[in-house]
Amino acid sequence: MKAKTTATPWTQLIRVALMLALAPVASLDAQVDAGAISGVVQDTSGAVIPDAEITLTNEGTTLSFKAVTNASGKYVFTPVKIGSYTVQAEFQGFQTVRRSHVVVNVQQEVAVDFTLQPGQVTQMIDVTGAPPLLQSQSAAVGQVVGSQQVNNLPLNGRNYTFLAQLGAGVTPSQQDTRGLAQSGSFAANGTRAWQSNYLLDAVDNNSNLMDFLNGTSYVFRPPVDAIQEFNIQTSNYSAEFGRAAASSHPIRAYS
Amino acid sequence: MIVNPSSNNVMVMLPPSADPQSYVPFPDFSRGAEYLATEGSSSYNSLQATFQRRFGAGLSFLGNYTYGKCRTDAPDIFVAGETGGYRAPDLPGFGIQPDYGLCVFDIRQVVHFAGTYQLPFGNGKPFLHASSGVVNQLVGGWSVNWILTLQDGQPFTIPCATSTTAAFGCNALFVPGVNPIGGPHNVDQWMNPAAFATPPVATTVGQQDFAPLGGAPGQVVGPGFHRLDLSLFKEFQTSESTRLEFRFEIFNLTDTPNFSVPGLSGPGVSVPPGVFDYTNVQNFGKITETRDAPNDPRQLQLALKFYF
Repeated sequence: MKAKTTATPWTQLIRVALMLALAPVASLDAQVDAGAISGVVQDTSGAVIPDAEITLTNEGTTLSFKAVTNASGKYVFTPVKIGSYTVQAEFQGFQTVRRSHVVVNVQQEVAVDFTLQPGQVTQMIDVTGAPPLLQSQSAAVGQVVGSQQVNNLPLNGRNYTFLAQLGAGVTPSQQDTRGLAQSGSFAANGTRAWQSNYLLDAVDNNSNLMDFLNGTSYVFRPPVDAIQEFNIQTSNYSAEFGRAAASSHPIRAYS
Repeated sequence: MIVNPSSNNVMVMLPPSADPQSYVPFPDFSRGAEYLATEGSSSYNSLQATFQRRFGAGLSFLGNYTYGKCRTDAPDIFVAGETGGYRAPDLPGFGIQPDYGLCVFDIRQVVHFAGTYQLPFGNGKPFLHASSGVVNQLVGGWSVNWILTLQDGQPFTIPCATSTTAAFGCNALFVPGVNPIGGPHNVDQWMNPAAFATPPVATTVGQQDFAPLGGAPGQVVGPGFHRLDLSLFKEFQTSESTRLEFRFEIFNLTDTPNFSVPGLSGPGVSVPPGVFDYTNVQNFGKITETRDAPNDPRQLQLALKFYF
């Protein structure tokens, strides 16, 4: 027997409509578990350089992106998948400057500014020092816990949520008969345990109500080996996190 | 904040002998049907400090210190083991504000200190870096990791030993000049039975003296939480791109028991009667449960992890 493969015009129409409806969603994905790199390009006198060419290269995958600075000499790459990057700025009549090992963490906007020296584009200046630790691009208060800590620290039961308590202002939730505190639930800055927002790869991971049977406030707990990094944000975090009064808790799993 | 007071409650002070049902707005319906309302408030103030060393010379650590205080009249609505509900939410002139007190998860001081240290032996390290193959395999690749957790206790509420009204709750008062945690202050008797007193009993229907309802909740703070988890890793480079990691993890290295507040039960553990009854000198303040139920002794875990 042969399966009938021809689609009626109606089903084709529905398919096209579905594709159109779903298409914009793909371009909006994964911003809450990514970071950003931005900066200003200047010459030695402090004048901004518009139209300078900026190249961003992921040091892990060598995937690269290009951008040009705007009229105020500013460039922005967003969203940027977390990882280690090389940023390079070049402009006619100036030496090219390359900055290596710029690390982007979840929800971090890293500032990489360039001051170009007059010279040939083919001359290259390598800057390997880390960008300034002071994070002036975001008012969010939080603690990033990287894969090395997630993997190495002794976690009984391999429950990564206890690492959230490495952030200042985070304490375990109240003692009760359901074992909420034992499951790693926490109170951030004096708020209830269920006022925290758990995100896994930018997807909502909140138990709709407290999970009464298991005493958890999250749905799914990935094994520690699968976690690339997580970020506990306790104050002034970006509006896209919404929903939670207490803290936001995006995790990025390896992909 | 969202709270759940209840409806069809008694709205006047009643002596304990009175029948509350005849004093509710709708005597044909039962008392205390719950509803949610956004009328609670909460306040939190803290000093927070973070102390971090990014990886260098084999050492990285992350420490934090929080000195905080949380007060609320909005007990958590979903979680069991909560400070008892409101004493008299519908009593005019009383309401929920007198139940403003320490949050159940309030912890005054918290210290967390975690880190990793790669021992300085073997190739590429300060000591014994010229070791040959076998020696290097023996002395190199060791690292130690730890999490130290030091937390103060969390508060709990001691109710009155006997009813002082027919329908309202009551919190025990302090006896002036007596230390509430005087006495043994251990798992057999965490707080001092001589330090708590029952307020006067209501005598007339509709009296305006609210003294029988007692004082604020959260009178006593429970035991703190102190714990050190430690692990020792040994890494073997098996080829250029693969390595084998032997992990020896010790949870609760010092074997310190971390006790709950009194009155919590767990698997196989029941709470003796009178844990909150300060007239029961035998059982008052007895702690029967640890934080990590049913118990959390020192645990050792050995593991092999192969990276490829």
